[in-house]
Amino acid sequence: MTEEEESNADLVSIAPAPHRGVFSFSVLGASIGTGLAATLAMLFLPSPLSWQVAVGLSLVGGITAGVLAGVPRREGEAALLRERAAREEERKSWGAAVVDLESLRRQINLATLALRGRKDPLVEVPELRVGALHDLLEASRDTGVTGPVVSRIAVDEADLVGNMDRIPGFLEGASLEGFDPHPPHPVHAVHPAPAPAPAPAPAMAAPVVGMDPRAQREALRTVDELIQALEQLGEEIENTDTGASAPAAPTSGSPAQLVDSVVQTAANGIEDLAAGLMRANELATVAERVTNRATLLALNAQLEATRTGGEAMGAIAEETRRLSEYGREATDTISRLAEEIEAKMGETITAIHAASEDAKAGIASLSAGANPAPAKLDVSRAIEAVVAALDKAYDLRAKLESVGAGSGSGPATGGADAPAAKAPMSASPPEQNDFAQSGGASYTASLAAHVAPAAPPAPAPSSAGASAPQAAEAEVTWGEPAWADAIDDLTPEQRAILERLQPELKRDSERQG
Amino acid sequence: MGSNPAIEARSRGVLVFTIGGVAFGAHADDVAGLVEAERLAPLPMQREPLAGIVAFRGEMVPAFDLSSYLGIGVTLGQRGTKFALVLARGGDRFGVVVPEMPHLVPGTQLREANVSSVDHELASMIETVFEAGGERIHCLNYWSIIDSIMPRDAVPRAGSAADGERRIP
Repeated sequence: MTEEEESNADLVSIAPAPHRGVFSFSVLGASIGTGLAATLAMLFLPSPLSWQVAVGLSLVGGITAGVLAGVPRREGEAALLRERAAREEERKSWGAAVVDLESLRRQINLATLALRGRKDPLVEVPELRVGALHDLLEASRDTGVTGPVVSRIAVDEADLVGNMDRIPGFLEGASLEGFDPHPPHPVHAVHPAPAPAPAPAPAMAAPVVGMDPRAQREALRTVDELIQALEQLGEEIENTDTGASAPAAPTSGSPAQLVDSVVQTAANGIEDLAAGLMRANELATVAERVTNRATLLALNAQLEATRTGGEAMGAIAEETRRLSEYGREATDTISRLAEEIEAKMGETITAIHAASEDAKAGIASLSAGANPAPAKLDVSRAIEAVVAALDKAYDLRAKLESVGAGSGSGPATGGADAPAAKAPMSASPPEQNDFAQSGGASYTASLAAHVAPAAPPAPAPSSAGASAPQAAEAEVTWGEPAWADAIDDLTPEQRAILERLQPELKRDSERQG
Repeated sequence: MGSNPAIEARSRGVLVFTIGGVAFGAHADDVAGLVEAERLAPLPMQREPLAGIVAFRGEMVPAFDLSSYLGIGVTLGQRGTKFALVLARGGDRFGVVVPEMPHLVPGTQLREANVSSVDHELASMIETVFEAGGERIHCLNYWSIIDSIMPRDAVPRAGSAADGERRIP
């Protein structure tokens, strides 16, 4: 503020009100005094001198009163004019600031849109080639990603805010500590003819005479929005530089979504099982037909051998009979397994449904914040139940695989190697559960061990060359080769789910253990 | 009742099948073969118990449904397959349609049994009753049944070509 402005401010501060001079006591005193003097002259002086003196005193009194009344009026008018001029200046300053803010907001929006479209804002938006954001965008483009982008934005943001200090009182009460209001690289002015240089911070912090508090709040709100927009812009810039704003990969989502995903995976597995079961039934029908033909052939050969008594025919009849027996066994096995699979499939569907409901209930209670510990326990139990249901599904799939293998190799290898051909039909558990042996059981054992470490791990079928306890011990450690092998056997969707669940389960394990 | 060498010599085995819970048998010596009776070609003006014509090793063989003849309702297997035992008497062939696949019981396992009171209803048709593994096997006189269904003169003889009978080429 200049010296002249200071003096004007002083005058304004002591200036009388606009009508102060007309009714002042000095005017009243001058009028009364001259009136009394004129009256006394009329009473005590001889005529016509008394009249002359009285008229003269009245004239003097009138002139004096007029002079005394006129000076303050002029002073008030001058002050009024000065105040009006100041308000006009203030209004102009406000208007320019609002225009600047709008322009800056528009530039930010344009820059944000360009960055979201993965385009260079400085190339795509000509408006941004000059202006407040030019330096910021150029710096972020030139220096690349590095972390200081956000902090640099913060500094530039202070610059921008500093440039807005023409708004009288807009930063009232705001702390500018740590910010340099006059940066070494001043931000380009939005308009070619900017307002006069900003006042120092103390003057900014001082309330401006005549500033409407509502307008101040509005200004503060506007600046806050501006700061938020800048923060967002900074994130956009940072994400663009790091390539993180590319189409976002599906996030992990809420626990409920995770449960849904697990249930969906299980449902898909069940669908696969149902399709496999239908195929197994078809195979069983074909196998039964082949077996019937073989049995008929054996019977006819036996009849012929009985009738003719030929040894050769008898041998053929005997082998054919054995072959038909194997076929019959295979058909029976397939039919029995198909029935078991169908029954277990029903159980699995029921278990998955119940587990899903439990998990959702647990998550809901956990979200509600009521009694969190039991809710967490419910979630763990629910996940455990889902895992158990998945285990059943994998078991079913393994059985189905064994059915397919058995129907393909059983009858075809009959003849002299009958016992060897019979082996797959016996469906011994280790041979039956190849998937569980290689991956399914170990994965569930690992998962179960981390969901509920207190419980003993699920029994894992012993693999060749490794004892069961050793296998179980290897499987309950995260990151062990057994777990990696199990992961390899999972579908990508299952793997993604497990990877998302892993930190949570690990935390649970550490907390409980 | 011990082993009967005469029976063993006469019957090298019996094809056993069940109709309505009763086990029936046919001497293996009398059976020319066994075929699936999936497709039975119907005869003109066919009446029960005739079931139609089956193809057996290139010959047309008339067949009758034994369960229908005996008046025993049967439930077929899962696939509904019937089987036909083709009986041979000289050059004659006749099929007996049964609801399940027969199995062969060797003659060494057969013991001759008396016809019980339960079997009296079938007495006129029963030729021999055997016992094997606690099961009574009723061997019927199928040719007499066939003759009752279709008089001998009317039975088409599907014998050799020298007989001048009809034969599928």
